Amino acid sequence: MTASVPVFPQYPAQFFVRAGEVVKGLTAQNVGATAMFASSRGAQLIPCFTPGDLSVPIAASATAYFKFRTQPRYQAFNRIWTLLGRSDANVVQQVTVAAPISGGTDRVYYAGTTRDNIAPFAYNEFLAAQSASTTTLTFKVANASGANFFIDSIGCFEAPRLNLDLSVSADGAVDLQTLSHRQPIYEATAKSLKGVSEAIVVARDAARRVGMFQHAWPIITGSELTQVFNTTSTSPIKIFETAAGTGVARTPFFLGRRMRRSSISGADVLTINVAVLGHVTGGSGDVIFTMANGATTTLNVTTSGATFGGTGAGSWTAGTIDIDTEDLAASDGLLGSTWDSCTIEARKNTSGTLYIAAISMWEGT
Amino acid sequence: MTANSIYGSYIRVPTSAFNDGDPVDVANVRDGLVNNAIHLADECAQVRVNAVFATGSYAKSGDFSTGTHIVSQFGPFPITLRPDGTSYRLRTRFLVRSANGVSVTFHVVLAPPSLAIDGFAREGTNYAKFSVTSTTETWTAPAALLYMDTGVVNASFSPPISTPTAIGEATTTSVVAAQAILTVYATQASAANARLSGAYAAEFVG
Repeated sequence: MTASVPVFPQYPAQFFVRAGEVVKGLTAQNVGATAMFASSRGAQLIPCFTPGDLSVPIAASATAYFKFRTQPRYQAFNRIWTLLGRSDANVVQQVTVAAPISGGTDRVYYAGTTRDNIAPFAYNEFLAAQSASTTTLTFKVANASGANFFIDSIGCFEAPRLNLDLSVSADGAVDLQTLSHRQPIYEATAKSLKGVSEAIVVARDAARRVGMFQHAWPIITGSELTQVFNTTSTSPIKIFETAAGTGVARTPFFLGRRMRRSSISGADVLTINVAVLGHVTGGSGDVIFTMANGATTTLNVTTSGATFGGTGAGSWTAGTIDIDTEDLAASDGLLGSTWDSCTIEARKNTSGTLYIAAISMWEGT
Repeated sequence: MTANSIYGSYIRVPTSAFNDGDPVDVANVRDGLVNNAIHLADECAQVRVNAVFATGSYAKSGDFSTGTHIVSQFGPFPITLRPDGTSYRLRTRFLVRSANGVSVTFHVVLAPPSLAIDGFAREGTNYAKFSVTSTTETWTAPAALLYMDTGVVNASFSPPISTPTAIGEATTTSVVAAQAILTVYATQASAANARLSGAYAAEFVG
């Protein structure tokens, strides 16, 4: 037995729920449908981004790996990877794409030449099992042709669910028929008002703003360290800078879900996860995250795996940081009319080099 | 007030409040069910684009000297829909500059891939433009939040997304989702001087 996931939310009428009025079946049905909408329309796991240096291509015959750390929604059956790229030669370019790197089925993307005539490519990754565990997502782009290949955008989102399984409690389904007019109120999994309240608890965790910021540099097979970020500086330098040496940071933006009432301490803050996929030659290196709201965290990278895990997940260094939450009283949602941004810096603590292949920031449970 | 829920936040009500034999308390239904469902729907908005380019790196419409051309595109991605049939609003910002101080006009279109040009021509709610002359790159936000009206949303459901009939199954069915791509154009009178170094687009229930 399944329950349909609506394409649009079905807001229940709040004015029907007040002292002296019976709680109508339609109200409860709309609550259940809206909860399923929130949890099961799919999350953006990787917000679209431009990997690495746009002036440095994936060279002819080279294979690039991209890795991302995140916590998907349990509901997902499959995820869609999107790719926009182009050739620097006057030919339609053939590249092979797969996700995950190990075990994914190769598919061919034919890319155009200039940005005015490129078409997006979507890769459908079917999952073997449902899971909401923190995991590493991997993506491969193999340049099969004789010309350079430039990537303008990579992204990944979960496909919405068509139906939820009423027998799988973690799906958060509700049997809406049990909420019809004159149906008894009783206690059973995914049924009646208790089922609605349990679906809302599932949706509270599932309806996360999963992907906050993801940036991955190309890990080139056979020469893994050539196109990833690297520094030998023992004082912090900006990882994203307007130009090398200027010290002027390029900062991604953050606004999280507001889950507490404004009158409660901590309502303006949401804790999210941060992780880096790094490698050091000797000693350790630091990656320092500083939010405009003042929050800061430092990740100490000690990993010495020069291939970043090859076709596997790799060894990640992880922590947490506080970001601003949305202000639902503001017309644009900005808290105090400010954009909360993050300056990301790196340093090598002793001699040697710190390499970074990926930075991941996501809302978990 | 842009929140559609009563409190604009999540209210913790234990599921045991709806056990067998307990009377259905109207306050529990209002706070724990009605408010929470609407609030979770309001806040299930997703970050669709969050890009800062590597140090010194930028996109340009350098393939042509003058005129209007695509500087970069991000997506496609699904767009969350509101009960009124329009899309969630998109809070956007772009890290832009002019390479030589000559004015560049950037045009931003949120539309299904096949309608990006159409969205440019219509200049509807899914279109914004702004001009830049500074050679110092600056985050610039369009004056209004972008969104797809019902007409554009209606055109954005095709093609549907293929999905397994059950987890681990090879057989598939399809599920509809409004999908869009964010396209940044630049109109330049001087040779290839538009520069884009970052973009941000996050949904907001609005």
